[in-house]
Amino acid sequence: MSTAIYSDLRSRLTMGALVALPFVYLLLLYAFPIYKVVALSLRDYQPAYATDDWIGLENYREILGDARSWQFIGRTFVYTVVCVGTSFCLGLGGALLTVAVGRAFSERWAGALRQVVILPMIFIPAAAGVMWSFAYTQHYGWVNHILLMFGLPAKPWLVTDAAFYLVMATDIWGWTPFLYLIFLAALQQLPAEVIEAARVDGASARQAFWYVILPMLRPVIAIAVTIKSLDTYRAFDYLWIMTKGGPGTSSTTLNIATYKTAFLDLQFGKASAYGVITMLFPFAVVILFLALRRGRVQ
Amino acid sequence: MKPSLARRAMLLLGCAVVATWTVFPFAWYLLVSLTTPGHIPRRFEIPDVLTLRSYGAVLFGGDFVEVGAKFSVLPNIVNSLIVASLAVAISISVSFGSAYVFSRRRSRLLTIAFNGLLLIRMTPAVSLAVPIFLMMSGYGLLDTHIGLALVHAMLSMPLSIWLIKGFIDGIPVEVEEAAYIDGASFVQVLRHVVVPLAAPGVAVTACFVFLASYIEFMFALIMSRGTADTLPLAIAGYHSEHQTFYNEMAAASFISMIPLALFFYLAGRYMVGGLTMGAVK
Repeated sequence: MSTAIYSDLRSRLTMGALVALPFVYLLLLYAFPIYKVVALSLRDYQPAYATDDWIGLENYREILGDARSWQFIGRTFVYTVVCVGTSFCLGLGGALLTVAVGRAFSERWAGALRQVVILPMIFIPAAAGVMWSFAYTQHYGWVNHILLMFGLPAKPWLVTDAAFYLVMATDIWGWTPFLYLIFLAALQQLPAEVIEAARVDGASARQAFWYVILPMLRPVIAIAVTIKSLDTYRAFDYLWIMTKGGPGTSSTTLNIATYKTAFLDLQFGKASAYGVITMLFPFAVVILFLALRRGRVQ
Repeated sequence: MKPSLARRAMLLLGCAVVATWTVFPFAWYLLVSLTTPGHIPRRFEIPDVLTLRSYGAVLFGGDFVEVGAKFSVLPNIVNSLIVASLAVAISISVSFGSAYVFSRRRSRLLTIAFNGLLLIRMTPAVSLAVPIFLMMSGYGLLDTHIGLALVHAMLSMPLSIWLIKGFIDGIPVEVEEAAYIDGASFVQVLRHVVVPLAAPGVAVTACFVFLASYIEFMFALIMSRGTADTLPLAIAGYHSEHQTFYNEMAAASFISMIPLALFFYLAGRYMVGGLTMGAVK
């Protein structure tokens, strides 16, 4: 705004108060907890045993010296990369399919397909979690019914080593519509003339996709994949509801490890150290993201 | 240019695959919720008796079924609605004025504050779990509606500010200038010009904040001790190691979908903006 209205002192003070209000709220319920988690991570704090001693970096040494913690870290990244990668391909594929159906048949068909694809989004994660847990049970689940139809053995899948992958499948099932919707909206807003011009100039459908459509989608893809990656990295509900990190620790990620250390083992100090380790990666990504965007704007 | 028959057949095949992937688990689960409590559809047959008794049991308690869960999730539904409504009230009232200023003013400090919200939005919830649990325990707010609502409002504060700012951006500043020239004070303009014009956008934002609180699981899990258990906890509670009441679990799951289904299928056009926090319109 070039000529600012309400530039008198009183209005400016009111505006200052208004803009500060949510940040005061966040100071109390976000910034203070962040300070607290860092402070607690340097203590051996177990209220159940009346223990509360400053131990410096001992919690971190214990965690990073434990081979299992490295498995948790690795598994968190595997979960993120596999889920986001698969959801990305399925979401983009679904969006392209919807656009193609709209062209080959009618917009109404495309609209119907869209409603079908976003069906998993109306499940609250807890409901999707219990539904899929049920699907994998040995005697009642439909997954085993299908396996039996093909003469394959039925198993209680969520207590086998496959559990971690099956939770990822649930995550992909539940969250692919998120990327699908974003890609579909972006595809429908692309200028049709540009794509037609490329086709008229002799580009094949595949060439038009790789050299025209995909580059135009790149900004949307960057934002959507960044958000989705950080959300998937934080994933807790499906894992907790379906396996609680088990069997053993075979599906335990950093999020589950933090939760278990705090609320099952009641080691609040060590859990805080896990919490700090968990948030390092998203913080780095967000700061990098903002720095890159700043660089591009200038 | 009419697409060839082969191409149209391929597209239909693609649609069929997609529909199977999303609809099949849903349909089977729906069938489970409609089967007599204590029974599971055998293989892939429609059961002889379809009944709403599981829904009755879930809403009104055990008198509807001979075997099965004897508890009702009605209190959990009420808890969820209270917590989500409180979260909406807190989040919107705290963030509205701020969103207005972010929309109308530019400064270095404002930019930094605005970008800082991204950091808050992306912080893993478990990292905050221990300190927030200890804080809420210290203030005696564990297992209360307001305690959980305060946390949910914090989690959705960035979304709330981003979305409302986006909607206020769409209100022409000339409307405010006209009121300014007529002598209205800043607070008057905000109350009588901006708020009414931004109301539809605030309503959409309120829906997003409501649903985010409604589906939130982890903080509800650590902060509740029975009396303030929200619906997701009740649904997850059906699936225990000892006994699982599948039909009631399915019925409760479908009941829990009502708010999301209403919003997604009625207000779908706002969805993309909300999901990406206003970054993609």
